[in-house]
Amino acid sequence: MPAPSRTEAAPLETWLTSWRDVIDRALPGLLPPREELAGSVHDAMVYMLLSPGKRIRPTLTMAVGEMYRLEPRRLLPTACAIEMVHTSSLILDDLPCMDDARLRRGRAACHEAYGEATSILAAVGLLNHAYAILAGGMRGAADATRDRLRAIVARRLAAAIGLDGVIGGQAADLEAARRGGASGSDLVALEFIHSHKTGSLFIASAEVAAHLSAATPAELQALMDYAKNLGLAFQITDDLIDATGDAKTAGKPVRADAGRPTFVSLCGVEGARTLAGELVGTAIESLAAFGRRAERLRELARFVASRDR
Amino acid sequence: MEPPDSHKHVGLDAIRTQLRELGYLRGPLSRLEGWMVAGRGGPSGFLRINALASLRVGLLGGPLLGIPAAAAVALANRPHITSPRDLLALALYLSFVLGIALAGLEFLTDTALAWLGRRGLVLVGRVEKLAARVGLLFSVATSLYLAWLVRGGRASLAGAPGEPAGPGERGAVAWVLWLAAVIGALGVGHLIGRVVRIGSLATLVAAGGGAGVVGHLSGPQRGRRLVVFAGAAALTAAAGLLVFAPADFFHPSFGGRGAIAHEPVPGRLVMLAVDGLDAAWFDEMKRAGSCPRLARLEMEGARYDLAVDETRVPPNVWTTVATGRPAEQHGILGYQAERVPGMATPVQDNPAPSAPTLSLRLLLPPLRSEPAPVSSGMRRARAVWEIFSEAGVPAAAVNWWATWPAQPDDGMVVSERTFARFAARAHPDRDAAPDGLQKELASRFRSDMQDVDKALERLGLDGTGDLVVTSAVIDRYHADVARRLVDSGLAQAAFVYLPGLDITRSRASSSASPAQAGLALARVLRNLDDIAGAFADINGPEDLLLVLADPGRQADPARQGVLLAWGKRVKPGRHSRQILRVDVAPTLLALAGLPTARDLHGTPVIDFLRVGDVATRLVSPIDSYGVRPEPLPGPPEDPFNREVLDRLRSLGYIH
Repeated sequence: MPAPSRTEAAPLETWLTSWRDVIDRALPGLLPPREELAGSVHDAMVYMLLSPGKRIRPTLTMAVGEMYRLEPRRLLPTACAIEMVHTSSLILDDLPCMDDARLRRGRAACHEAYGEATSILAAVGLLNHAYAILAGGMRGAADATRDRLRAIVARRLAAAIGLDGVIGGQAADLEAARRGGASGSDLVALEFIHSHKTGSLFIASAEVAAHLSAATPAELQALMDYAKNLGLAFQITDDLIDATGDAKTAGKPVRADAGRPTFVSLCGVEGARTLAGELVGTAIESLAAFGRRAERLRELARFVASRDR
Repeated sequence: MEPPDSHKHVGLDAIRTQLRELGYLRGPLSRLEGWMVAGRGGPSGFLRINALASLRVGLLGGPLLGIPAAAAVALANRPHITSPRDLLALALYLSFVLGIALAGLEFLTDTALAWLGRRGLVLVGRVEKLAARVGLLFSVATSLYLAWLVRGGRASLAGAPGEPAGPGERGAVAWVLWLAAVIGALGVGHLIGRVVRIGSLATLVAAGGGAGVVGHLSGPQRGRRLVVFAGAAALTAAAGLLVFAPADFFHPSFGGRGAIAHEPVPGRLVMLAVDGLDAAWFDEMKRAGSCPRLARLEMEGARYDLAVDETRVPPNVWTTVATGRPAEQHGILGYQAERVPGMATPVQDNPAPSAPTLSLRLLLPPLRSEPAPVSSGMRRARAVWEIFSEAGVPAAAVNWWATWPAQPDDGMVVSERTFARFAARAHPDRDAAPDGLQKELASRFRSDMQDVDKALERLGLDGTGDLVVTSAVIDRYHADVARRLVDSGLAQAAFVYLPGLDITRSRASSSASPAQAGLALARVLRNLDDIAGAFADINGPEDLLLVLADPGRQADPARQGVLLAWGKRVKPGRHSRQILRVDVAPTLLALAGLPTARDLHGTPVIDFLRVGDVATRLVSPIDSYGVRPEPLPGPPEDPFNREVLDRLRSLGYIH
């Protein structure tokens, strides 16, 4: 598989598009074959997985590997597994019993297109299949190393999804909504929700790539710091898009967060924008030890804060 | 478009602060932080993380503290510890010992905090403050410790003990270097505080159930300037010490031994060296009529006040008196010394930097040798009795500190071990020189002690096991020996050390009421007064009797000593001029008609002599009397060492 342009001169958009194309091409091939009797679930999985997303998380994984000059084919299955995990969380997040969103990535949400029951099965199916991919992955490594890496990656991804991750964040989000949102500790609660719902998978995306690239402990820590700050910047930008964007550009309903605590409601649009910028700046600072090798990761961070969808 | 919302906006700064506490908006880890928190991956228990962090605190903090501490010990042990090998060995030992101490303290502190956390002290959200306080505590403690270690450096560099430190170029340089060393100490303390803070953070985050410590760390920016500044200051101090220190700072550079052009001065010279008698107390006792004979010596003779510095350790003080040189030149610093593997030079228990040597003693028992009392071989400068003897003036040192083992070349010596060994009925071993003198003293020890008992009985000082009596016996025996040497003509000059008052004062201050202590001291003083009165019988036309009293270990720092000079050649009167300890040896040389040496730190004080006598005593000085020939053999082996140490312990010198 051809890797996207590694030349530093290549524009970021080109580079992002190249990786998105690589991932989009790889995803269908990693899905299980369609069984007629369970076709609707398979269709729902394909519908959501191949919907036009930004692929930020798998791109982050691939970008870290690229920095270490790791062969893309060794990392791509893991990156795709992360995208599957993320997609499954989106399906669940949009359900009527959760956020009750009708639009996702510019299209009808999964439950709108396939019904709630099928959507739940599709989400679980994607999650399940992600682990199946991880269990069979790690090409090019010796047996012992492969087993160790499989264990590390599975453990980190499980943590990112579980109660310490996406599920914990979603539960806190629901609880906050049930209470009516605002409370005296808005920021702490908000950070908890964001860091678990969004940040944990960002961190896992960078972390597993670092493990597979044999990063040193200090480098691993630097990449996790980068991803942590980037994840929150990403979420604040989402808040800003919800507060100031339009549905057509965003590809999802806007003003959906009205009345809920967000960074925009906490410190205003300008304050949120400033914070997002500072978080991106900190993420970039975290990469100081990598020098010019990390230029793409820096560009990715800047892109995250400047996006409008 | 600003969205409508029902929330009150929170200040951006408050949000930033909270986000920092949550681990955002922080720069990359510094190298130090990266190293300190490396290896936390995987499921780790609190104890493992605590042990790992404490180990790293010890690994970093040990050398940070150990190297300056080694430098301080070496400076305090001048002129002995100067070889690079010894310095390296000392630095390694102290780094190891202090590293263990730091690691242990860190482990215990964090364990205690974690335990408190489990007992209800909320750790979550407070770990940074707690860790910062632990770091601050360590930082202040280590800074103070290092500042304490370097505190003597300024005075040591600025001038010899007893000499004023400034003003003048040397004093100013000393101040600047001392200040740089203190700033360096603060920097080291700050760095150790940072290391400890990171270690505590890692531990407390784990104890509080937190997911990661990295978010709590501050990155490479904070504190870097201070560390760089302090490091530069420390380097400046070290470089300055090398460049500006006096030539004799590290190695005493005595000149070659000059020829002594000696015009014989007839007459006997006796100096009674009384420890533990300060000028104010002497005056008080004199007014009370408790020392009439000493009062008479003062009235009929000359009196000077002896200005003393803060040095209070008798071996150090009285070797300075006998050599005319400060401790960093004569080399007798404390009571005992011990060998440490890897070091050629034994480390002396100098009270100034005793903490590191105490650390060695406590924490490295398998590595250290048995301590031994300081000995004559460790003295580098020549004492007056050696110079007298070489110049043809038979002189005896009696009971002077660090005169064992007595060497035949040293002149006539009755060392500080003689009495103890004879009293213990142990076999004599280099206790007195020449050999004939040792044999004679051994053979008549019993009858000598009977004479002592009779004399003390006459003074009402009888009884056994009484510290006052023990002190009086020690003084009386040595005074009698000196008196006999002078009377027999074997010694034309005698220098007798009388420690009884100092021993009694030291012990009484801790174990008796003021009234009882005063009574005990008065009894010992009565004995001293009697001894001085007996020596006043030596009153030939050229004879001179000196009583040199040093305030001793327990005196108030402001107290001064006394020098009384008595004889037919002495002009009576009290002199306002103060003398220093280092002036005593040149004075004794001059009184014997011997030249002083230019490399001695003191000057002769003989203006108490009648006019014609001054002229006969002031001969042209020579460059130097040189060093002692014996090259620092260290504490000699002697089965009696342990008994001597026990005796020093029982008399309150060591603990």
